[in-house]
Formats: sequence, C-alpha cells, structure tokens
Amino acid sequence: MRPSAAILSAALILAATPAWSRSASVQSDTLTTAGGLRPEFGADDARSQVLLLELLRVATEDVGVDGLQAEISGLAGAHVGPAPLDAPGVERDRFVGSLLVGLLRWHSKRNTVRLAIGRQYLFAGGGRAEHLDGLTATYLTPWNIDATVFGGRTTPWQLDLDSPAPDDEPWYFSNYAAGGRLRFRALEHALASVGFIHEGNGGDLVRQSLTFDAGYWRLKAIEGLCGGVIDLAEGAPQELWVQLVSRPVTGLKLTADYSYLVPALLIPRTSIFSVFATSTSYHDASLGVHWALTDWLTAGAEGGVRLFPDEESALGYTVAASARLTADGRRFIGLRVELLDVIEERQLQARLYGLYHLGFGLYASADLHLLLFDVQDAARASVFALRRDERRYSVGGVGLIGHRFTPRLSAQVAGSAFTTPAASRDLRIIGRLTFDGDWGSP
Amino acid sequence: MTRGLPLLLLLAGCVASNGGKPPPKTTAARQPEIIFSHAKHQEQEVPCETCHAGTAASTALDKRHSPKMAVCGECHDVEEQSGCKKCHRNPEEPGELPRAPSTKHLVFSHAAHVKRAKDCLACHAGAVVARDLAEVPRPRMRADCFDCHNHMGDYRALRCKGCHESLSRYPIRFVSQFNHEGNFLAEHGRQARGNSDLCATCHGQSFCADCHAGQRATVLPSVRRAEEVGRQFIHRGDWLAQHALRSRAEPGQCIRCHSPKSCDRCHRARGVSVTSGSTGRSPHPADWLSPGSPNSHGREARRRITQCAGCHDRGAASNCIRCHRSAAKGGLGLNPHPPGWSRGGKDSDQVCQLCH
Repeated sequence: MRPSAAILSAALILAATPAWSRSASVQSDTLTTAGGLRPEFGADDARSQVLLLELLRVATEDVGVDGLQAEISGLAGAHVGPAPLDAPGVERDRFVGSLLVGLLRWHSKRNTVRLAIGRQYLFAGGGRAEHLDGLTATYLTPWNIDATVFGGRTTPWQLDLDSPAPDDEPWYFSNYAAGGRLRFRALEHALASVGFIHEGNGGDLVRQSLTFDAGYWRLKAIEGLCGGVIDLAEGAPQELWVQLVSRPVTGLKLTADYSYLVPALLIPRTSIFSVFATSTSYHDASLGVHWALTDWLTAGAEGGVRLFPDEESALGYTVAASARLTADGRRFIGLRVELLDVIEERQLQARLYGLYHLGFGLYASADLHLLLFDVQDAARASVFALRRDERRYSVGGVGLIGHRFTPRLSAQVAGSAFTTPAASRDLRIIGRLTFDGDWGSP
Repeated sequence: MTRGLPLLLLLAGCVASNGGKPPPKTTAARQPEIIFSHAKHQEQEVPCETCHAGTAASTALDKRHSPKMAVCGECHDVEEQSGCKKCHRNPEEPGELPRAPSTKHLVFSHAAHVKRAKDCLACHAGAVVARDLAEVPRPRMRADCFDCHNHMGDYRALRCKGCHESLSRYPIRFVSQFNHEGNFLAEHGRQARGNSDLCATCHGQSFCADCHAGQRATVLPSVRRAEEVGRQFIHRGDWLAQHALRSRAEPGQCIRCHSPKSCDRCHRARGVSVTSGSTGRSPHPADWLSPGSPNSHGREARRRITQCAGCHDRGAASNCIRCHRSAAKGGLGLNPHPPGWSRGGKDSDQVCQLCH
C-alpha cells in the first residue's frame, strides 16, 4: 500500500466518526442529470446521457484530540444508458469517482504550530495552488512571521473528463513538488511573503519558481495587494499583478487591477512547447465599480483592455454592466450585459436572472441567456467563428424549482434548454437532493 | 478513478454508524452543587482577583481561573465540619464548580481587556448581583462585546480572526452580506493564495474542490448549483459556443486548470481537429502554414502558444517537431526559438533531444 493511500485511509476513517469529535459537518449532494444534444458538427446523430452522482463532504474538529481536524470530500457516480455527451465515439469509464480532499490537520493549543497531512490544496503565496498528497507544516513565530514548508506527490488538477490513460502525457505534469514560504502578517492589516516551489517529474525539472505577494489593508480609503511569480529556470517574470480596492463610502466598491503575464511560461519545461518561452507577453488592465445604491438596488460596471506590447494593436477589450433588485434578501432579479472584443471576433452576452421564495419552503429561479456573435475578420477567425456565420446567436435558459423540507434537507428540480452554434438542441434535466448539517459547538 | 468509490462507501457507512446523532453539547449544570453568591462577596468589597487570581494576566481562554477550596480557606474556616452545608448542597459527595461551555473557539485576552477597561464589571456586571452560581451570566456578545467592538464593521471587512478561531460552524445564510460583492470571483484566487487561512475561517478545502476539482463528473458548478443564479460562475450558460473566443481573449487562462488533453480529446471527438480523419475540420485558416502571411501560424504561436499546446502538445509526437527539428534529425531545421532565446538547461534535457 502506498503511503499516500494509508494517509488518506486514516483521514477517511477519522473524518467519518463525528461521534469522536467536538463538532462535525456533513454535506451531501445527490444528483441525477439527464441530457440530450443534437450537435451541429462532429457526429451527426443526436446523443443523450444519464448520470447519477453523489458528492460528499465531511469536516470534523477536535477528533479525539484537541486541535485535530479532519476533512474529506469525494464524488462517485455512474453513467447510465448511452455514452456521455462530451466524447462520442471515445471509450469512457461508466463509473466516475475521485477523492478530492482527504486530510488531517492539527494545530497546537496556541495555534503556533500547524500540520496538515493527506490530499490537500496548497495555497502558499503568489504561485498557483497545488493539489498534492503530502505534508504542510507551518510555524508561527511571536513576531507575526510564519514559516511554511511543504512537499509531496502532486496530483494534476482534476478537471479532465476522464482519468489519465497509462500512456497519457506522463511528461506533462510534475509528480512531486516541494518548497516553502516565509510570511509576515500583521493581523488583518498587512501581509508580505516570499516563497519558493520546485516541481519535478522524475529527474526532470517541470517548474521552479520564486513567488512573492504583499498586501496592505490599514488605510480605509484604499486596500492594495500585489504579487508575482518569477520563473527561476528562465530568470524572467511569469506573472505580475497589482490589485487596488477602495470603499470610499458605504456600499461603494471601486477596483483597479493590472496584470502582466507570459503565457508560454505557464507551460511546463517538460513540454516541447516550452521552447517558445519568452514569446509574447501581455498586459491586462481593468477597472470596476460596484455600488449598493439602496437596500434594494445594486449596480455595477467593469471594463478592461489587453495589450500585447510586441503587436501593432491591442488584442481587445471587454465592458460589462450589471444591476440587481433585491427584496428582503429572499427575492432578487438581476441583469448583466457584457461585450467582449477580440479584434477578429466579438460577442455580446446578456443574462437575466432571478430567485423568488414562494413561501412554505418553496423557491424558484430562472436564468436566461442571449449571446450574439460578430465576425470582423473572417480570414483570421477560427472555424468556430465561421460556424457562427450560419447561426450567429445562442439563446436559452435554466429554470429551477426547489423545496426546503427542513433547514438541513432540500430538493430541487431544474431544466435547461439552449439553441447554440454548436448544437441545434441542447436539453438537460437535473434533480438534486441536498443535506447540509452540522453538530456540536464550534 | 473508481478507487474513490469504495472509500466513499466506507465513509457513508461510518457516518451512518453514528446514526447521525449529534455529539453531546457541554452545558453548565442547572443547580450547582456549590452554593456561592457573587453578590455577597461584592457587598463585602472582595476584589475579583482575590478568588480569580491570574485571570487579569491571562491572554487566552484555555485555562479555568475558578478558585480552589484552599482559596476559600484564606477567608473562611473550611475545616469546620458543621459549616459544610453553608457551601455544599451535598457534603457527602462534594462536587466541583460548574464547567462553563467551551470558549476555545474564541480568541480572547483578559489582560488586554483589563488594561483598557480597568474594571472586570465592564463585561461581568451581571455576575456581581448573582446570588447563586446558576445565576451567573456569561458576557453577552451583543450587550457586552459590541458595546466597544464594531462587530458589523469587522464583519463587513472580514476581520473575524481577531475574536474567532474558526467560523466554519456558523450558519451563513446570505453570503452577499460578506465582502464578496462586485468582481470578487475574479479577485478571489489571488487573495486566497496569500491569505488562505482567512478563507479557511469559513470555508474548508472541500469548498474549493467543489468548483476546482468537481468537473470529472461532467457537471459544471453552474449546472449543479443552478439555484445560485447570482454567482458569476466562469462556465455559465452556453460556454461551448464562446470558449474559443474567450480563450483567445485571455491566453494562458485555460491552461491554469485544464490539461491539453481536455482540449484535444473533445476536438477530435467533435471532428474539429486535423486528427479527426475524414470528418476533420481544421480550425486554422487556409494560409496557416505560409510563412509571412497575415495568418501564419508562427505569429499566432508567439501570441497564444498555450492555445497551440491545447491540441498539439503530444510529447515526441507533437507535430511542430516534424518541421522544426534539425536537419540532422530529418527535419527542416526551422528555428522556432524567439530571438535571444536560451534554455540554460543541461545537454541531456529530453525536450532538447527531440529536435537536436
């Protein structure tokens, strides 16, 4: 048995015993989804699928020992009937299942020492989060400085539709990561940290990065946060960013963001495409305003541009406006309109959505979408855009009705229908049973 | 992948074995065995520190500062057998002082409060009029804490950790009341990287996994949580029709979460890839392979190399190698490296050996 499996099993058993714990919470989502699709390209025949899925999350505190916590979440499901929608003709697993989080966490009485072992998301400063089976240890000194070290076997971000095949991209992801971070933090006022992460695959280097981030929230007028990642192998910045937030009056939030990114440096060095490293970078700047004008009306606007310094023109821009009317926090209706311009192509997206509590634990929601596409430079547009020349809109929506039987138990039925450039008919029905309970004192 | 299934079944079984019963809560006894009047002691002007020594200097709530009987003996004759009933309801089985509910979840320093308030009664005013231990009220948050602390301000600014060790068990009814308004969805990643322990006061890691790792089940968060129509989920609505345009607008964003395989597999299946055989429809323009043309792949590759990697990053089988590898290795030797490029790696680098 691999050590990680032993760790996860231990976490599982402990997490599953709320009786040993001072407090526990259990959340369960039981889902059934059925859908049918008539695609516009690819395989010609209409397809359908039925998926049964269970998502379970358990968290406990003081499991037998003061300061020991356990957390676990996972999913298990089965495709019933025809093949899944997204990959016709591709042999896929009938059963899906994954352990997403399975960790034991312990902190000392005064919270100066923290340990976490098992499958976890690691957030250690400016770099991206890692999903690993391993150990994280943090020591908080009396001088508001904490030091973290971590290491373990990395698991790729599990966003693929299938489990990796044996011959799938063994070179691409790291299979271990190790590093650390030193952080200064004045409680809720300021933070500054520097970190290091080394990711490898066997004997090959995948990434080696120096990360940093800093924030200052003391001023009432403005809050600031900045950070970055330096690719140590290339000796060049991979990503830099600054974020400013101001709340000059109650209910008004102003934001300004800037980021610089070299997309090529996101590609692991174990990939052939890493030889394009230092290819074009881009700058991204955006402004946003969000204003709760009254207790019942909120409005917002955002806009941003992306500039490629090595190119003759800006890549594009985006502008968006939104508004929401709220009544007693239980009923609201919102509208959001966004224009996205990528020079070659443009799209206008509008959403109208709302939630209404009908009483007796019943509630309903609706979410309507309209997308309009515009091809400005057909010669440079992708085949997807050319397809949109035939149907240059997407329209549809989602409707839901739910009932809260008790504060812990509720059920919902939702249906969606869309006509899009990719599918003349895309229908889906979802049934969901949710349990959300917690016990004991926090 | 199916390995997770038995683990979950085991988990479900273990949860069920507890019968879903809550663990017992700790509460103070209704009628304490010890008879004690704070009011009488206050009338005699006995300083609080006489009995609760060490409290004023304590910086945490991890220790009890209730007096032992020896402390009582400093003023009272505790050896006198006939007087037992003055303090003990049942002298045959003398009990202890009642235990207060656990407050370990609170961050609290008596020392800091005594320094500012100078008087214990600022928070414990109710204690001095209590004629019995059962009547001793604990400080109430709204009446006692919020007299001085701006809880609503702290709440809105998410300054929770000053007082709360953990908020993970508090019922949070309306997330919008927190500072998650506006473009928080876009902001949250960067904030979480630096300050994840702040997020952890309310959200467990499972909360992250719910969106960031749940898509193996082919159910998007916006579909699974259809009632949360107010949230700006990234892949909401007809994402399929707009994903190509979105990925062109923000190069590098897709690859942060998705591996190249997820692009290639779907494109092949849907027949929009050159590797799709006779039904294949290349997404590239006609003059894609013509150097110097406005649509030359080299120009696009420099701008959006992560999009190329989405379909073509196949290790030694990557199609760029065919032309760009050195003549000695049977290629055309077309140099794909940017000006001034230097890998700075070792000679045995596997990637270099693919072309050189």
